[in-house]
Amino acid sequence: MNYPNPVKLKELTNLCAPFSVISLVGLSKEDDDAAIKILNELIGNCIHDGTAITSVGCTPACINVSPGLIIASASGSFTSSTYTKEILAATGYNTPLGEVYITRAITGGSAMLAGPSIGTQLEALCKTLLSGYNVRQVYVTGSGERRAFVPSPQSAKSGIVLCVKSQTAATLEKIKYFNELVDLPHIDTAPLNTVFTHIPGAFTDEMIDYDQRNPQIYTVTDFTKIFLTPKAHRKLISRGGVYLLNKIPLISVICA
Amino acid sequence: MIKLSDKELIQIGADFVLDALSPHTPYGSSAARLISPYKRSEAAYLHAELSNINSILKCSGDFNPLTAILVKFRDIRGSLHKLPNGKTLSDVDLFEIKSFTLSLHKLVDEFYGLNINLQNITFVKIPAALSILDPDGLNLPSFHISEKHSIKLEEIRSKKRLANPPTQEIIDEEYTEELRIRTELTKQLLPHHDIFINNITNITKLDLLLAKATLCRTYGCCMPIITENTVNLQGAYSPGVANTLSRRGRKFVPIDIRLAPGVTVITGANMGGKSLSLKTVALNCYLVQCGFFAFADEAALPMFDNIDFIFDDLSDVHAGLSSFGAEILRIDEIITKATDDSLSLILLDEPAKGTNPREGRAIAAGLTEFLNTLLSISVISTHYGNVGDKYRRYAISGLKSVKELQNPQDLHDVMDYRLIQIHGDADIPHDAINICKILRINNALLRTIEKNI
Repeated sequence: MNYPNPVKLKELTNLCAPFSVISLVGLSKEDDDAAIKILNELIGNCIHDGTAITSVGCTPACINVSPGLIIASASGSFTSSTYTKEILAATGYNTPLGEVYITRAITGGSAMLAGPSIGTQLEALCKTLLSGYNVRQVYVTGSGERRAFVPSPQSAKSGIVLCVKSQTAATLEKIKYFNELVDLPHIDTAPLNTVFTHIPGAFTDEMIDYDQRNPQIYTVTDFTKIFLTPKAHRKLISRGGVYLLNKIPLISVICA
Repeated sequence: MIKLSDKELIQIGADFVLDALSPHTPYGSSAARLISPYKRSEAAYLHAELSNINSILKCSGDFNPLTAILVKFRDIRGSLHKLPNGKTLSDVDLFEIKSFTLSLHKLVDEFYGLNINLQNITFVKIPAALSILDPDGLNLPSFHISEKHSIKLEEIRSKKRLANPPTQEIIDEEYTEELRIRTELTKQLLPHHDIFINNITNITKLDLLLAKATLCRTYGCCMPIITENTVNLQGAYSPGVANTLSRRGRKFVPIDIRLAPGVTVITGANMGGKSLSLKTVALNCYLVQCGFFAFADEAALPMFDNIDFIFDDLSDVHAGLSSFGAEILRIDEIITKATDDSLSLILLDEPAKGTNPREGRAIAAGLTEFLNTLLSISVISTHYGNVGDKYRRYAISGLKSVKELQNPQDLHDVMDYRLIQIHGDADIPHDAINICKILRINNALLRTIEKNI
């Protein structure tokens, strides 16, 4: 999709409705505030029964929660939270703030989020929440520079809401590049008999071998694993390309 | 008291067995890291442990539901530790204790439903503790400070629900009341502290027993007979080595050996498995005393006060000792420990091999003679002829008649690793030159060696 205009927050709830895991991702540390603000708006606008929230690592701000919401957060964050909680289960995932517990809000209040900081744990947590706690949608927030922690669509239908704080020229340039990554072609669209080099983890500039004369065609699990600089990425596209094994939809770009 | 270092455990292959042990609970896992041999004065406990493993193996009941419950136990020792220390339990502590209690109650039902009688293992339900933590009586694994604990809390929460968002005053009021309730719950749980700890001790024992029984099923171990002072191992093997050989498509040749107080001498060809035989004896003696079944078809072993061995080069550059010097000092240390009122297992692999053959032979012969006067069970492997003529002797069968091998790795296929008891003054096998021939070393070198025989 082309870079869309920011949509109204209420419309965002409807756009998110078809997705079971929604990751609110910023482009930089400055955008974290925007992600928190948008999550608060989304939580305030949706029905709480069947909704869960968690984060990638510790978030810098609190989320206002309402009764019935499921919150997965580390035990060390409980003292900074004011909602009345029922502890439902321990996850076994340890963070610097203690083990992550799944809780249910009995009353409203604020919740400091501190979820797992390991991608596989976050993915497993989302799966647990969706399968074991009658949860229909999981909202994940976290640091913008760690987009690799977006849960893979292999286990749930997940999408991304890109959150930005301002619409400066630099931000617009970053959004444009982000959209280029989202729009990379799926492997199914590659010509027959194409020879690929698969990058199983993060794809960085150092992994590109420009010396080879053959076209450089790579595959990655999904676009969140691409950490190439725009310059390196565009050079690579001109010499070959990158194909995605899984496409993660960009639900919306929103400025808050 | 037997205490082997990590290096010694690796030398005899005990690390493989200890690593293969897979308990299901955090209690079993931490206890598995501390497994050590029973003292001779604790023979009754060893007998009970072995008998318990045997009972589990013979039980026809299905242990899978019990295992499924064990997997759910989490370590609550940190939370319980707060009780006698007067620290107030947190929400998470109370949640963990409640979850533990619910799992414990399921475990009790499942365990006693198996109709298995395990010595020194009993479980007690704690319904009083559960009712403290579950005033609603819902038996759900979740936990929250219930409004049933206090009318005041009910009123505060009603106010909190109406206020959106709640004011700081309401939040503070709720926190204070919850803290008071948590302090009260902590006091009410204190009398049950010892019952929790006893149950954890028994969960640990049960978990380790099940893990040991699983190991027995996997490796076909046998229940050992505990003797006064004799060793009889039939079809004994080292599972770690057997596993490595199996990956290479080879089989471990089990050993049969009988030992008694005094000395036993093992001789045999180079690469014939003398060291491995000694290590297999050490491994089985050590593991049985730790409450494992023996890795053998038949095993009768005593409980030792000491298990000491020398297998490797002991040279200690830092202490300024050569391998010979370090070995002699270690032998002296071992012999000093082997007193008349204790039973030691002493295993020495080719002692005095690091000095000149004339004196080395004298040292080996003297050592053998001296060890034979002790009440300990000693086994020496040696290449020196005539060292063990007067004593119980075993020899590795040695090489089959083969002229030469295309691949030196195939030496294993032409070596008969069986341990044979030798009677009388039969000569020890001389296979070193044969091995040189089979391995097709330089012809000129071989001729020169043969000239010097």
